[in-house]
Amino acid sequence: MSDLALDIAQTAARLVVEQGLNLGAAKQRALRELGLGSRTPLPTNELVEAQIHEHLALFCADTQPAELAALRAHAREWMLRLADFRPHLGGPVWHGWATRLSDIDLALFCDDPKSAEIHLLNLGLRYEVGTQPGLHGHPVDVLSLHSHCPGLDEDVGVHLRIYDLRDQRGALLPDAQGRRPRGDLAALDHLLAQGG
Amino acid sequence: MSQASSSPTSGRSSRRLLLGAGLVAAAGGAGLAWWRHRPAPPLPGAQLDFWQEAFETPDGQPLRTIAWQGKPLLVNFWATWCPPCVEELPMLEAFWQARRAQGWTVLGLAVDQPSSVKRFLQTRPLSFPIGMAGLGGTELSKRLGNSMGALPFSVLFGKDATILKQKLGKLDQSDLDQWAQAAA
Repeated sequence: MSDLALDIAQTAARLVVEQGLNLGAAKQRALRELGLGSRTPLPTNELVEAQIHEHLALFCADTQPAELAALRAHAREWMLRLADFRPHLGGPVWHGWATRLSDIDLALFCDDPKSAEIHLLNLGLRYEVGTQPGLHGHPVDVLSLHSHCPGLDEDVGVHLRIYDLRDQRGALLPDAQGRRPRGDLAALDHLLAQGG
Repeated sequence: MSQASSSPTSGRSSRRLLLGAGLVAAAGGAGLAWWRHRPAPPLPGAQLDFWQEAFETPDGQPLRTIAWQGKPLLVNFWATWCPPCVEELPMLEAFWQARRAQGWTVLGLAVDQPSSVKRFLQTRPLSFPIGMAGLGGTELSKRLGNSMGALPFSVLFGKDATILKQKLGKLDQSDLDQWAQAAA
């Protein structure tokens, strides 16, 4: 690993923690903050995440664990509400580096891609529709909504990635570090039981 | 690492982007609005079974539906996280205040976490009975004709203990006026 990559990763990690940016945006912003050209090779997500953990341990050790616990509890509520759609938690709340600025990132695996949206409508929930790069390299519809997180006593974003049932194949394959990229309710409960 | 870790609101603080959600949202669901189904008939036996149901109040006191059998009973399924549910609660409160002397009951069944309901009631108290139905409340509401598991969902039981009216989605005052006559 080059010193430059580490510098970028450290700056990006700070931006993720302090401003709630996602990894991609934080890396780009870090280049600008460091006065580097936009074609500078970027550090891997794994390196940035390692720096995030370090930053949290140094500067947020007194607040972050409780914030993470509040977000995980709230993610669990949403997973129960959306249980029919095979919800899987991913992102910082799953991986453990979420702070109160982080959003909840859920992947839903639906028999009928419109069914989750119809369910939200039936519950009177207001949401925004977007598209993001998803699993297996295909774009995926994302339904985003506000939700009051009781443990934080403030609104957080909840993002529902709407996958097809067949996309579930491979969705739990470990990443380069051998971690599962997302987990279902049972996996989250396992994490919570371990004190996570 | 996989894409799952990047927030869908790329490039900006997600919290800021979501501030605009209310405006865009209407468009989000507009094409699907026709999906809001009408209530279905209650499942066989569901009306009888309803009078065997028991719940706890937010304070942990037992609530038994049998106590209200033979009187008009409006059952409202709601949740603290469901905006139209929260919007109609003051109207239900007023309805109950106006009719409790005539033997009416409004029963709010919260399809929600007890802790969330308690916190909600601290700032927005309700005087009609609230039962903690939990997520199992969705199943009960489905048996009573809420085939889509929507919220809010309201059911009116008449003096003969059968269902007179059902409403999927938010009630309005004209619904309540009609219901008051139907069960008078």
